[in-house]
Amino acid sequence: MPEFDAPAPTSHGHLAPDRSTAENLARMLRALADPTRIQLLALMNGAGPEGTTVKELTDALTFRQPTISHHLRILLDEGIVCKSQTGRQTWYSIAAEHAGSISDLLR
Amino acid sequence: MDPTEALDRARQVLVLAHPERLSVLSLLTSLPDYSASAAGIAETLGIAPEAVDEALDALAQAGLVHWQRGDRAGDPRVSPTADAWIRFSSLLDKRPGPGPLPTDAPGVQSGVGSDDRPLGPHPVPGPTPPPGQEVPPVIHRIADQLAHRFSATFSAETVHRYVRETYFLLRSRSRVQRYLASLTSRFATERLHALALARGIEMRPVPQVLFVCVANSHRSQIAASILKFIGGDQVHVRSAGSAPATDIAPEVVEVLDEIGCSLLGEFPKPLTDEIVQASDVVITMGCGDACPVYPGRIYLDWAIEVPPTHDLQAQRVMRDEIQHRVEDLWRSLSPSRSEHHQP
Repeated sequence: MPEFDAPAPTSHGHLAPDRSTAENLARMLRALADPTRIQLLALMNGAGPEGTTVKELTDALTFRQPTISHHLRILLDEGIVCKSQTGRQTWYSIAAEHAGSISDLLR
Repeated sequence: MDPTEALDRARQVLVLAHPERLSVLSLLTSLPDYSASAAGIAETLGIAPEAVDEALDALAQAGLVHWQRGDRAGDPRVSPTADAWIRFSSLLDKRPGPGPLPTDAPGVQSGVGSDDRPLGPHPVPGPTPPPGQEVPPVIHRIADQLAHRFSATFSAETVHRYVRETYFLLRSRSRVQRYLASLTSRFATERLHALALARGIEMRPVPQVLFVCVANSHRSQIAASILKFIGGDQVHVRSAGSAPATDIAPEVVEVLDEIGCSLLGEFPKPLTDEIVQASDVVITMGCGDACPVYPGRIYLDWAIEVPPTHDLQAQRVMRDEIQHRVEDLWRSLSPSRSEHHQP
């Protein structure tokens, strides 16, 4: 017998994510689970609304630019980070839909 | 974020990056009392007990769940930690696919009247809660209690800020609907302990001295005031009374003022178990056996009589006697200091 006999009355009426939801979330977490990427996200989280440039990120961390770009690519592929272009400058920022939960994660 | 912290966070995220562990944690944050036994989890999720055990071990190692000591018979129960709630509960609400979660879900029962902050799926981030917002009285009381408990380590302002922040963080989580006060208390305590550890603060960096008399309006106030004055930040001084009076005796303020000791902000306080437990040295001054005795503390009893209120000269004699005793005590508590003063 489980200790709880009725489904929990949550605000959205589900107990746990279904299998595919859990797998998708696990995949996203694997993309986040790297100290360099955590640091990149912390920098973007602290940046202004326009985001940051690769140069700013490279300057802030002690990695060379190809390393930074490699980690940014993983975050971009997973949809955690997005980029925008103004003139010749490319800006990276946390995707709006993830901004709240990434900010929580970095607390 | 420094590299060490980033590494710790990445490890925590990696532990959670497993569908079964996610399901277990998500279930725990959805249950009415936020806790379950391992068997209950296995049955509800329909996964093997061994897999649940593995998931719970990993989550506990990463500081995302903790076991509760069962106070009644039955299987031990597990529940999410402050880290899990604060860092990961908004992630657990994520669903793949276009569009955010519906926001018409019933709001969090906050206990504070109306609140027009949006309670969407992405709680409003920010290091501090909105400054204008008041917390309910129960949260304020929790902050007062914790401020007392952590008084050797953090200022009351720091503790209040943490409790407020924890309260607003938890309240903004759409899953936290019940026990907001007790969760706030538990998680603020966890966070303050963690903060102390992270800053390398020993919980008792300086000796903790407690003076106890009956009313805490006279002798113990004088002793505490003098030790604060000579010990500065090298000692943490408290005083209490077994039957506290309403006010400090006016003649005490006067005779202390004469030697440059201030009683500003002091008032008679009750003797509680917890302040005795927090102390290294307990000095009783005529309060009999009202002071509870705990092992590992130094107990001293100073036989000092209170002279008649109107006899200011006798009050001064008593003040000087207390001062000598306090100075002796201070020399015994800080040997390096007394050596320094020797020729």
